Amino acid sequence: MNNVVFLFESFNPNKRTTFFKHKNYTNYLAYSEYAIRNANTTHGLFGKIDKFSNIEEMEDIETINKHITKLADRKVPIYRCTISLDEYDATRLGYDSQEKWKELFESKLVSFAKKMNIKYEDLQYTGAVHLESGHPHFQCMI
Amino acid sequence: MNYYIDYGRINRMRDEFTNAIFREDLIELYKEKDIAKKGIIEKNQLLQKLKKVSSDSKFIKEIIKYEKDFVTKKIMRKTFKDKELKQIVDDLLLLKQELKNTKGSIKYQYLKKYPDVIKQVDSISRKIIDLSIECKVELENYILSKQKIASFKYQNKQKIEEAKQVEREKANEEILKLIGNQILNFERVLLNEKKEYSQIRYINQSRNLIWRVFDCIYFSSRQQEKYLRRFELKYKKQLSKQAKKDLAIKKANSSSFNWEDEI
Repeated sequence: MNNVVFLFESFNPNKRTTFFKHKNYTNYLAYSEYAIRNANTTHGLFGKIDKFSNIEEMEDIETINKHITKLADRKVPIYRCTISLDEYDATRLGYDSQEKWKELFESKLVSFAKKMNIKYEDLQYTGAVHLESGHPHFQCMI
Repeated sequence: MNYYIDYGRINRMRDEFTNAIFREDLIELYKEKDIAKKGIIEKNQLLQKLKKVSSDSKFIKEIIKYEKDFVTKKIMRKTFKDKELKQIVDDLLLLKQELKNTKGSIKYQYLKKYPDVIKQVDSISRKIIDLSIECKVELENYILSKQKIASFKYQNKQKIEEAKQVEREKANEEILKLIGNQILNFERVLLNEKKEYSQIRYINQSRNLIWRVFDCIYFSSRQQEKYLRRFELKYKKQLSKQAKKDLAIKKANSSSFNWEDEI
């Protein structure tokens, strides 16, 4: 069956537990055993954050992790998004590479911002592609 | 700050992704849907003004040819009787009287203020659909192709069935609107003439109209066949050698019923 599993989670920023949920999530995204690594680094993180111009080239992502935990501490709303495909469809349509996922997600960012009632300039995201057998997926924090 | 995002928006986001990812697969399904929709329009021109068609010189030539061959060939079946025609004409006359009491433009969307009128229009369009079997088949094709597209979005079987039902209802509504507008077009033209028509004249006119429409259906179906043949040729050119072989074997083994349906 051809279909897409799309999960979009929103967390209440005023709850104390949300902070702990976001605290080390970037490390999980970047260093998961299924994550497709970047060409020049040991992690698989990519995205668009104002302070860090080129995440794909950064070797040390601890600063990014700190930045996100700071945002969580300041009660800035952070969302999680997962887009998963069937393995057969992913290989058939070429969604087994990082570039293709990145291209897809960035092409939809403008409409994403509109639906979330956020200015496009204010929207930041980081994510990674996890090539898990059976369901290759793209996970990100917005 | 409001952090919550409702399910409607999330569903729209998911739709965007499915449309982007399965774009190539969906294009074929949309084509199927469009062909089916065109079929419905062509086979429901029963009450449409045929000025546009009759002004086309090519079409008139074809009609003259067809009229010569019609006695010998009789390709189109007579699917309506005088009784059925009379019923429709009576309904149309009643509708005309009711339309005189309405205000605003005579279109299906605007006439929703008057539910009785809409009910009457719907009943007439249902009767027209029941007149021809071909129209019903096209309608089913249209609904099926819409359901196929809807089933793309979900994984859960229960959700797929629910979506299919919703699509069926939506498609039925769309078709009723489509045919209703054509009926109202016909009524509007007669209302604008400001002449009192007797029932006999009404019947004669509508009978002529129906015969002309059946001619139209005949030619449109011929055109559709041509289009399908062209489409088949184009489709076959794209295939690899092995795929062509497989297709030929599939056709040879299939029953005579499926021969023409498969592209």
